[in-house]
Amino acid sequence: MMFKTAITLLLLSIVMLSAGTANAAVKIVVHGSNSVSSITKAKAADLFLKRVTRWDNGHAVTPVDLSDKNPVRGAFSKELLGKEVAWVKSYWQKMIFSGRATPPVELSTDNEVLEFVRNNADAVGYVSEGATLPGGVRAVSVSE
Amino acid sequence: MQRTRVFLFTIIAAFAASTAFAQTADSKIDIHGFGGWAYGKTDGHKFGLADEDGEYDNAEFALNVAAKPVDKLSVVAQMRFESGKDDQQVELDYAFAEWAFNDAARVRVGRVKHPFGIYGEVFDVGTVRPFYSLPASLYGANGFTARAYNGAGVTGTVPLGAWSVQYDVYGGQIEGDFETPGLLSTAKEYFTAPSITFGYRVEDSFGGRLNITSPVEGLTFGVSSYSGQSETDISSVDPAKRDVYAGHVDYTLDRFAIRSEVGHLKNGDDFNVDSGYIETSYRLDDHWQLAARWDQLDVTLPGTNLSKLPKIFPQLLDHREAALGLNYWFSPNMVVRGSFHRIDGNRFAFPDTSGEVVSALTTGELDRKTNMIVIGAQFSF
Repeated sequence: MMFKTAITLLLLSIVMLSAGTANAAVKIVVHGSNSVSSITKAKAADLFLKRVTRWDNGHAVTPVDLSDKNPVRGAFSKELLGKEVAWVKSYWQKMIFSGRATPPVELSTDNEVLEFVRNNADAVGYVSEGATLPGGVRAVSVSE
Repeated sequence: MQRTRVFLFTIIAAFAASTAFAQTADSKIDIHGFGGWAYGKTDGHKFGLADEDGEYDNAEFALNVAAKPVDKLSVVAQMRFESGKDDQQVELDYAFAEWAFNDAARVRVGRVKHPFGIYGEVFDVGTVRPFYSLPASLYGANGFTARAYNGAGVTGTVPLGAWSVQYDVYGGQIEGDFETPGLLSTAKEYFTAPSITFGYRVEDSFGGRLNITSPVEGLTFGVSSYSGQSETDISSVDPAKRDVYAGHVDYTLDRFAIRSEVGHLKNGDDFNVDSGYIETSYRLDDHWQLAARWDQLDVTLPGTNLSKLPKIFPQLLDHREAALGLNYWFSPNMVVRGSFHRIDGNRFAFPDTSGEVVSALTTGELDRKTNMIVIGAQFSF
């Protein structure tokens, strides 16, 4: 009886679900030598969450993140990963302490990310849509 | 004391290394850690980290070091220091090397975190769960899962369209602790200590886990299983074949999560265990979170005539627990939490002293009910 009551209460709590989406503007950037010109949202999530760790040419992907103090991080998480930053942090804790993966390097600003990508041929990062891209870095289009 | 020195040395060495390497843009070494402290108090029996007097000495800290010396090679190790009422211990949680042929095939060798269920690989990490402690039914010291296996395994992730399958297969030795009411220890020998803890090993074990990510956002499910020859540190316990089967389902969104696991353990002809729990949590805002859990376990002893054993014996074989929790998250890396637990049964809730055990045997009465509160904090970095 107690078990049934517990299950009923727990299932009822499902109605408390909340949802929301941000419509932020970010762009994904790669090194100028990278042949990738477009990726899907799902592929972007796989790359930044390290579920896919190789480019099609076999090179190891080097994702780079923005610090969670940067508002672009929150926008990227919601728009591309479909999750809040807190969820992503929790995901990385599970990956770290299970010994499966370590999170991407976190940098503070758009310029730091762009500099990192410019200096790493296999890097992938994201910056605010208004950021000016230096030579050697280009944006890739993102599709559903 | 020696272990404490070793642990402190490890911490100092790791942090010294971290000043040079950790989490910089050029990093090939990552340093992370987690820990926590809790106060627990019950209204009678000892249960988990709590007793009737109130227990403050529940602290732990772990340090995780991951290195990537070359492209496809990863080396990971985790040391854990735990302080409890009765002892302090330093333990190598795991240390293994992994060679990644590709995302679908990674070979692991060493002492590897046990891939079991939802929490088997993040056993002590408080910031990835809604309560201070994991459910006792599947994650207590009762033989379902240990912290690691010693041996070799293969793991990988295989995308299948909108689905994704993560698998693990492994072989070797599973080593862990088993805690049981003294009266329940063995069929051949009784102990009047409230409980005893002894080491066990599942030798020549072979097992695996499948974790399937569905196209439904946040929904994952899977199965875990292993089999091997179980041996213990107690000479009067005969080796027996142990078979373990478990299933899990997890539905986690940004604010809401609900998950459940069930498991069956068969230890030769000696005993069977059926376990399961369901837990849910809801984030009211960025900080406050509510949590609830139902946890239950039943032990059966084939071939044992319970009517010939002490009257209190049957209630040592089951566990029912309802828990409610309230958490305040300062950030995803630090949480302060409190919870209330109502326990029925004495599989995990033991009398505090040998005198109480003798009294229970004499009178044939042992209180089935235990109430517990836990207040604590957990962090990770």
